[in-house]
Amino acid sequence: MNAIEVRNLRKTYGTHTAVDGISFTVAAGEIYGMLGPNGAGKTTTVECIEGLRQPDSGDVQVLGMTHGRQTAAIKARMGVGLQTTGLFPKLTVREIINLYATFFPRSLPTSDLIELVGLKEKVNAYSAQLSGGQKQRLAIALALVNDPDLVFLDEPTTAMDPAARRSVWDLVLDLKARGKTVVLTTHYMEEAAHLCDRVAVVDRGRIIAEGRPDDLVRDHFAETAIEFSTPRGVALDRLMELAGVNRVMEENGSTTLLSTEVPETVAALLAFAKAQQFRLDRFTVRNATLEDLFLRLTGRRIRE
Amino acid sequence: MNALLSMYTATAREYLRDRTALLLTMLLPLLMAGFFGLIFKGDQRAAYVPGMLGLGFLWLGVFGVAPPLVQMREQQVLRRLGATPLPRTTLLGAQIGWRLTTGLLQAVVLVVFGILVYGMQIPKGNWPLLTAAVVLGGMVMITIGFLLAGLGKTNESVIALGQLVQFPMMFLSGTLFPLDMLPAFVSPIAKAMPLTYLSDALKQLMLGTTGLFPLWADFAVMGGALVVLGALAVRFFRWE
Repeated sequence: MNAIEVRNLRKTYGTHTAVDGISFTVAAGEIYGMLGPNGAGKTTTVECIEGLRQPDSGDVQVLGMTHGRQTAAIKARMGVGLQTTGLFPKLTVREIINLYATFFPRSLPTSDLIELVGLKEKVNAYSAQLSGGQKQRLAIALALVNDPDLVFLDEPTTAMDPAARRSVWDLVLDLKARGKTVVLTTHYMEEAAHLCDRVAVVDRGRIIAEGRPDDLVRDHFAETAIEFSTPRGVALDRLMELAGVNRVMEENGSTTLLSTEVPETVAALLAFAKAQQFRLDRFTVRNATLEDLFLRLTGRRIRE
Repeated sequence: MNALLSMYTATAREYLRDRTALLLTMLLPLLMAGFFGLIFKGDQRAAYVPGMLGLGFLWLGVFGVAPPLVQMREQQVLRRLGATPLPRTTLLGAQIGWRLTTGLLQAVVLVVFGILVYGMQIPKGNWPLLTAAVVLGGMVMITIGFLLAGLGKTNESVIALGQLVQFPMMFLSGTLFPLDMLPAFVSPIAKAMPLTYLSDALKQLMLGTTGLFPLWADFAVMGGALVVLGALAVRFFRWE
């Protein structure tokens, strides 16, 4: 059974179309990611599924139910981590978790949840005293308080340092191992690639690509990326003439060559750099990523 | 029931840990009553206690109800609660319940202060009606707070709106200055403000004096105000 089915979802605010006809399904037990820049419509889409926003049109089915009369039943089986954490500022970590536990027919022990998100040292701190990353972790604990079948995490690792991000990734993978369905939005492509079984790339209210992260990249890029700081005074179309280069992309002072013949291209590039007397700073050879995919599909980077 | 109780406790904790709100609604009326006690002598001192209770309720509504609600809206606390099965009526019930508790605490503190310090003597038979006036007046002021929270978008605009409501009520309702001391054109304004009737009822019941209006009229106007303001508060209330 599918955990979520969305067909032709639309939502406009005045003249601004936030969600412009989005359709997708999420299978039970899957981690589904929505990847895109801020303002792409990810949050609006997720909040329509959660029942926090009323879509203008389109069908939304959650755990085999629809919003309206079944909203309370849906909410009892889902867990939500909002991007804006929405915590009572003057309640302690423990008090907030205990409070939310009373809203559901069944709940996990507070101490387990605190342990799970690593806030043991902060149980008696007011939520207003927590750092951005700690607030996010408390928000995740609240999303899990009712041991939900379906978990929504909106930008769960924004404002986190790399170590905290890693621990949240482990937590999400652990949820999947316990058979939960997870929907997460992110603008970190590493996060989407690391966690998600399937990813929807979202831009301007539409899904512009969808699939397994590896497949998405492989389908769009037969090539390898060769990246270096853009040299001054070198015409980009001259790089296009180098052996094996299919495409040249330039963004924010960084040049990326997409090549099918890596040794030939690298040799030609080195010779060219020597002849033109420019230095290849920050030279890397890597596989194409979701970030490259987004750049190719939209001409922009995810984080701007 | 469990959810209602835990929301009530959470609301109480948030309130008691916020020193500004606590100061404005609990301490200020007491300080004002103490201040008037320094100015006046004898029976006149007790005469200001009912008015201070009325003012305390006004502040409870304007500063104790509206800003916390707007903050909950701005900080998306209401939105986050909306993602749980918690019924909205439970949330509102807990909010109103705690504010009413605050109002009753205010009343107890001021009445005890009046009796012990100023020798105020509340006529024995008046206690049931006094309790009713406190609950009804408290509800009216709390409803005004909910209405302000719905009308103002941000915390700043709600505080500005609150001042707009507070000042005329404070000075023109006969609470601080007797109405016959004020120019004649104030009278219709005074008659349009719920605090006028609350203060009038409290004075009659606490001091055993005759008021500006019959007691039943004070209760009727407050009841009517509660219905009308309540309908408006429901109409303008915003969750986000």
